[in-house]
Order: sequence, then C-alpha cells, then structure tokens
Amino acid sequence: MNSNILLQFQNVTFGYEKPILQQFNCSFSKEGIFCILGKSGCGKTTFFKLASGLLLPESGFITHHAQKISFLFQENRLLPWFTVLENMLVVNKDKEYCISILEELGLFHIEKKLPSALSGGMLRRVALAKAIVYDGDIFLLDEPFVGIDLERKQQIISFLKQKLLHKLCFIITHNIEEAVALSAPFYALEKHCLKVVSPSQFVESLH
Amino acid sequence: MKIFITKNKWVSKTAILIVWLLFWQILFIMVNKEVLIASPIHVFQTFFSLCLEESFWFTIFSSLFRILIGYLCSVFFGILFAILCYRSKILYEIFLPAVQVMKATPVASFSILVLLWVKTDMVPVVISFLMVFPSIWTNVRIGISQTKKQYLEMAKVYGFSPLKTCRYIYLPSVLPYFISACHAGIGMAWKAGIAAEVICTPPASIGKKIYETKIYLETSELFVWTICAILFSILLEKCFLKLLYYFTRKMGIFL
Repeated sequence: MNSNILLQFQNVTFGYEKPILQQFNCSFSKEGIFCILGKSGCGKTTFFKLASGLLLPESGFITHHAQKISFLFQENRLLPWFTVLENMLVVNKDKEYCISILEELGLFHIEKKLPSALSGGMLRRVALAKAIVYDGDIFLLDEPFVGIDLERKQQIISFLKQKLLHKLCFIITHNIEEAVALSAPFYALEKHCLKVVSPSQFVESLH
Repeated sequence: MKIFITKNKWVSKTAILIVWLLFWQILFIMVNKEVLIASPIHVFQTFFSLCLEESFWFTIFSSLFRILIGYLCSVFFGILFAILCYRSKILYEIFLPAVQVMKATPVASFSILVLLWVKTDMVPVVISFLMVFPSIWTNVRIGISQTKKQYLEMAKVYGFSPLKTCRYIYLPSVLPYFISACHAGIGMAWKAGIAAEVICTPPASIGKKIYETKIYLETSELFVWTICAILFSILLEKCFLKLLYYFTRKMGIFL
C-alpha cells in the first residue's frame, strides 16, 4: 500500500442477508472532509464499521495508516453510569482539554451532569466532543448534527472545519445545507465504489 | 372517619410498631398460654437480661462470623465462576446441573449431609455458601451477558484495553444484578445458616440456643433469639448495601 494512502478498500465484499458492498474499491490519500450520502440501507454505516474494523469483510482488504479512529456512532453511545466529563476522560485524560472542547461546542457547566439529564441535541454534541478529544487520524461521523438547532449547527460546522483541517474525515449526512456548509466533496455510496456527485445529484438522490 | 398519615418517617414507623405490639399483646391475652405465645413484656425483660450477659453477644457474633464467611466465599466464588462460565460454554454446561441441585435441595438435607463431611461449626459456613452461591452466579452471569453490544463496540473503536473495558463497561453493567443478588443473598444466608445451626447445634450459636429453647419449652427465649435473628438480618442487609453503594460511588458509577 502506498504510504500516502490513509484509507483503502480493495475488492471488498460484505453483506448481511443481501450483498451491500461488492468488489468495492476506494482509496483516500489526502486530508480533508468528505460527505457521504446515499439512501437508507445502502451501506453508509456499514462502510464506517468496515473502515473502523468493527466488521470484517467477507473478501478483499481494508488497510489504513491511522493509529486511532474517532467514530461518532449514529447513536450517542455515552456511558449512562458516568458523568459527561467522565465519559470524555475515558478517551482522553486531559481534563482541561475536554472541558474546552465541550465549551467550543456550546456546552457550559454540564461536566458533572449525567447523560440522562441532557437533551437530545446536547447529547449529540457531547458524543461529538468525545470523538474530537480522542483525536483520531481518521474521523468517521455518522449524522453528527441530528437534533442540533440551526444556529448552533453553523458554529459547530465552522469549528469542525478548522479542527479537522489536517485529518481525514467522513461525514454521513442527509442534509444538503449541512453538506454545502461543510464545503466538502459529495460522495454517493454505490455497491462497487464511492462516486463523486454534484449538489443537484445529491438532492435528486434524496428523492 | 378521618385517617391521619404523618409525613414524619420515624413517627409513622413507631406508630406501626406500636400497632403490631398491641396485636401481639391481644393475641397473648386471648391465647393465655405462655408456652404457645410469650408475653411481649416478658420477652423484652428476657431480652434485656440476656443483653447484659457476655455469652449472649459471644453467641451472636459467633453465628454472625460463620455465616458471613460462608456468604463472602459465595460472593467471591460466585463472581469467579460466573466469569469463567461466561467465557466457556462447556464449563457452563458442566456447572449448570450442579447449580440447579444447589437451588432445589432443602437446607435440612444439605445440613445433615454436610454434617457427615465437616465439623459441626463448619456446617453453617458451608450451608450459607451453598444457599447464596447459585443466585450470585446466576445474576452475575446474566449481568455480563446483558452488557450492551453498543458499548463494547465503542470500547473497541476507542482502543480500550481489556482491563479498561471491564472497569468502565462490564463492571457498571453487572453491578445492578450483583447488588440485587447480594441483597437477596444476605437474608438467605442468615436464615439458612441459622437453620443449619438448629440442625447441627454447633457450640456458641443462635441455632443451638433456639434448639435448647425447644427442649426446655422456653418460649420467651425462643422469641428473643428469633427477634435477634431478625434484627441482625436487617442490620446486615443495610450495612452491606450501604458498603456496596459507597464503593460504587467511589468508583464514580451512578446506578
């Protein structure tokens, strides 16, 4: 594998009851943010799980040069028995840094609260903060802005663009405005590859 | 008729206690045979006179010591074998019939059998162990298997070591199951331990004292020892739960 390549899928086949990826190929050699789209059930989350090593391909190879991968799951997956801060500290012991990232995402004085005491939008931001403080080389963000209000979303997008400047980041979204605001290339997930699409094709695909 | 329910917890508890004491006194007057129902006043007189005797406390703490040893062993081995049986399906299949036998066998049968194998003062230890072990083993094993796959996936992605996964995910997931087993188990160990003492009559034991009251028809003393057994069961339960919750909070876990 070329050492410049950060993530590569070679002839990957994977499916549950029916095949999702077949002889799938893609490779990413540069840093940047990429939006991934596609209809529900087309395999976007499966693509993330394969990239992170949570799933193994039936055939083919997946290689990456990342030491750490920050994965924001579709569900927040915060540990309900720990406070917000403790949830962050399990992935990064730097308390000051964890609090500063929470504040960057508009979350003030919630460190000692339990996840059960937070709203859906706040929980999503805490989960995003956790992925950021883990500081992976590759970021896999599965619908990171669900439940977050418009104004806050703009702030977070600006922060992410600056924070993830030197990272390889994939963002799954169904929202054209989010994708445009991220000013990231659009990729449609197809059975055999990731295909670059235009914003109009993106909108079409949603219908 | 108006019924007043006070908001003060202690006042209402005392009122309930007085109602039951009155009921006991009425029952005693109706039966009017000290051998069948002891008078509450006589029982409390006996209780206070026994409290002043050193041997009374020695008896109680000897029983407590034996039963606690059996209980703590069952907690330790229950956790150990639950983990091993979760890891190995074969071990689980081998172990399951033994646990089912432990659950179903009456205390009396076990006590007499164990009496043939060990010294009398060890019988309550073994019986407490055998009575509590199945519930600790079952609950801990269920707790481990109920750990959410989602959290384990998160641990894998975020590079948790096996020790860290145990500390941050398995332990908090298992704790509610473990605590409920410990809670039920402490009362069970106490009751089964004393029943074993009645059957095997080891020296300096509550069970032996209860057995002697039967022989000499000392109903009031029987009531005293029974009340002691109840009080210590409640005390043990409360202390153990407080200790468990204290350590849970020390570990930063909110249940």
